[in-house]
Amino acid sequence: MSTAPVIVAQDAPPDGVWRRALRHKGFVVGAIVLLVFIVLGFGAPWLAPHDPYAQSLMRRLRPPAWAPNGSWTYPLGTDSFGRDYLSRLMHGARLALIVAFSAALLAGAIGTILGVVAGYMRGRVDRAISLLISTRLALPSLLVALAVLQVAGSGILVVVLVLGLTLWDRFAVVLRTAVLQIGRLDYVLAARASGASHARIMARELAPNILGHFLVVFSYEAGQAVLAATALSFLGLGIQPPEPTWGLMMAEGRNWLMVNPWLIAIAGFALMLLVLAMNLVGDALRDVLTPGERL
Amino acid sequence: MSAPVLAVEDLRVELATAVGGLKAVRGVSFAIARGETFALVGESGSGKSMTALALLDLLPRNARRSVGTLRLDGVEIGALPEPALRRLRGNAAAMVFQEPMTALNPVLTIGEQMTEGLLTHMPETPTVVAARRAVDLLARCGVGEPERRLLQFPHELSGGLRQRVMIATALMTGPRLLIADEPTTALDVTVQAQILDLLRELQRDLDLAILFITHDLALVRRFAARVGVMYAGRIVESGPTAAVVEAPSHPYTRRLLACAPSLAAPRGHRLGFLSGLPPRLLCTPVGCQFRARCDVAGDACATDPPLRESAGGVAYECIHPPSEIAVRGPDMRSPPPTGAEARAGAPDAEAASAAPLLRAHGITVTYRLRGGFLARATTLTAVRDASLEIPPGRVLGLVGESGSGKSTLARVVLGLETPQAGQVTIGGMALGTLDRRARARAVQPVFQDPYTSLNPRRTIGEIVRAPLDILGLHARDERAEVAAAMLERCGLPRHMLGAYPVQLSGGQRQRVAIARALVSGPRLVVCDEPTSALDVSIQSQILNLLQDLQASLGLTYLFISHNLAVVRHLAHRVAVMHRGVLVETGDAEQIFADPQHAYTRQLIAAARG
Repeated sequence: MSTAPVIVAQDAPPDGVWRRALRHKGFVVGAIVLLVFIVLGFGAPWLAPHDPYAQSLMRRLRPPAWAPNGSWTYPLGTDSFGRDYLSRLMHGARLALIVAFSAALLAGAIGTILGVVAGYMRGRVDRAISLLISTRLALPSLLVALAVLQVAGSGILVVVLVLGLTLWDRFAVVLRTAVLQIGRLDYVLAARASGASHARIMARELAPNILGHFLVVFSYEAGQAVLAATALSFLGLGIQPPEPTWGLMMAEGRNWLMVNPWLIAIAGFALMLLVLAMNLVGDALRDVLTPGERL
Repeated sequence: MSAPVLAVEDLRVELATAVGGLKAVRGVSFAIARGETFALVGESGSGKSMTALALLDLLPRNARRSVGTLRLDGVEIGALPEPALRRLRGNAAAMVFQEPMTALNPVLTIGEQMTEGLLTHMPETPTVVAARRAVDLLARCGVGEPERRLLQFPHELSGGLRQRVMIATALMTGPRLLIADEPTTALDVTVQAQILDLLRELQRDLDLAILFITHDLALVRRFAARVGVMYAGRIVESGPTAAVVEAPSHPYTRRLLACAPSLAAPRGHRLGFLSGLPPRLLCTPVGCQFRARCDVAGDACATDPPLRESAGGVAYECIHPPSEIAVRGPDMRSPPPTGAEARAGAPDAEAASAAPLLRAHGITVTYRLRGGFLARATTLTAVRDASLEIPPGRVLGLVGESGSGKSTLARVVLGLETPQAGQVTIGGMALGTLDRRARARAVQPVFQDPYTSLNPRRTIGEIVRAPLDILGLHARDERAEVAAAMLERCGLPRHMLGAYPVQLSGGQRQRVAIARALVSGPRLVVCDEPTSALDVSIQSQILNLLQDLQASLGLTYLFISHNLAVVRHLAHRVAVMHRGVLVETGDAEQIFADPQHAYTRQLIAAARG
């Protein structure tokens, strides 16, 4: 009987993921930006230079430090109530991140369960769930969210629930397809032949192989949740003043567009940067987690 | 001799990979005359397909080609710019690819695809003339109702018909050279024989030069006048097919031929043996690349080997003269493991009288095919009233072409599919009454594709150990040891326990799959085409392993394959399946010597050629 010699690894094994991620430019840039937002947002109570709620009529509408008449006391200036803009931006980042991750997690849980069950059980269950997905896709999610918020009132919990319940479709579609493909592979058949239960097959054979797909959709949906939450705030629904959400800050800035355009521009730029970072990380994860996977 | 249609000197291809330059083709030279077939034969990674693609510069983006001389029809084309090359492709030289299912564009009709090339190369051709020619060529390639086919789409044709269309399309512009890259590999045996006949006939009538790329030595023997054997990017031996195949000179060719099961060899003999894997060809390979796996090799092999002449016009690249290789080449059969002969299955009479281990009776499997949203559902009978028995310790070979229902029957025997009618009993217990754990202890599978049968996110150790965890066999802390022992028994070293499947070769993965199947000690193993995805030399390793394990563990196999030579090599009994029906069952020797059913006769004739 032969003892075949070991061959040198041609593709990196799954535990080489970190090394590959750190070599991926998009991942590094996105992750650093995201990390900065996380540190500034969650560290806001300690890092922010001023109280984000403290108003003062004496220092209304100060421009940012680099503009004429700006000062480094208020690096990004102040808003129309004289509150420090940078401090509000940092606290707003925390709210945005909380809403994004909670809503994406809730949506991910719903979508993953539906998608995996549909893909694994196939047949009638699949058709029923697919109908549910189609129905969800036919609903204009932002309008539904507006209507629900109008009725149910506002607050961070309601926003998370509404977004979580409307953003699960992509998880369901992607994971259903992934499970349909993976479930057909011989190793799942081999596990069934070994006497493994459905629960064991889902946990040990499917879960590790769809984790990549989940993370990619998650990072994308988190970005979508930030955008949706900001839009709701901007429209006056969702989280209410005086909370420093970016949407509220931009809505407020709209009134002073001619006097101080920075009010709307900086919050908008922060929003763009955060969503871009999330999408960069998502794209990079797809490259890093599924290199040449035979799917 | 007139000038050859194709003359290649010193063709080289280098691929840029993440880990450095890979020298895929390292100085290949050959020539093909009019009306001649030259076969390039080799295992995967030997560089044969790269050579074919390099001729018309159709290489992937990361490849770089260099060539000494490359003459097509006497014209030097080695340094032609892309637009000039484009005029040659599909005009003076045409290609036929392996996979007829993907080589045709699904949204264009056959007529559009066939005339496209001709109208591109000769825009002044009237469409009617092009269509006329397409009809002629389709008829000539054995496609019935050629006028109607022009308006059909690829999905309306079978695989065999599509390959005929591909060949007809390649001939539209009247090329002098046809490059056929594994043109019959994706087809069933009987269809394969028809396509080869067609190519032979076309060659005779049109005086075509054919470059035939294949991994299958049996095909070369039947089809090509001359052959070049490729190994590690070089032609290591070339010459008239008969001389090369009957009396191989290069140690690699000798081994490779001994590895291939044949319909002529005595049943149950051990296949030849080629240990190890081909070299990786990174950096700059120096010396004979086969020396690591060669048993004639000495210190002198570390320098580039000279080209030697051998009897019958054969040239081979080796430092050793033919006499030395023949003398020093030891017995090519690998030694059987000790004690295996003694237990090589119970005597036939005894086995025959024992109660069968597997008994399948009247199995019928019907699928309901759902139409569209409002379309009516139709049914498809995959297996109809199939009955078979296997005595303990015996191997039943189940033979059939794709779609014959053999894999469906395998899933029924594994208990993964419930038949509409019929019953399977294993060791006297009805499969339907067993819970999943009892069923798993009775029967285990080995699948075809080792690239999809192992979970890529689990280590080898975890994969082999999993059945023990599921079935609760052995004490928890002993399981890793039991799994390691089974892996060793399947020929994999212990340190591979922590490796992931991507780090293993196809043959090694198949050993892991076998270890996983056997670790829980099943009595029946269902092998569904276990070697079809593997190269000849790896196939022989796996077949020898399966044979040894069967003998030493007293296993019973249901061995499914489309390859008659492989089945004949391993099976005591043979069952032939055709369109869901078992048309013939009997003793292996008897079926191959004296087939009763017309379909069996057809299969065997196609495989013999």
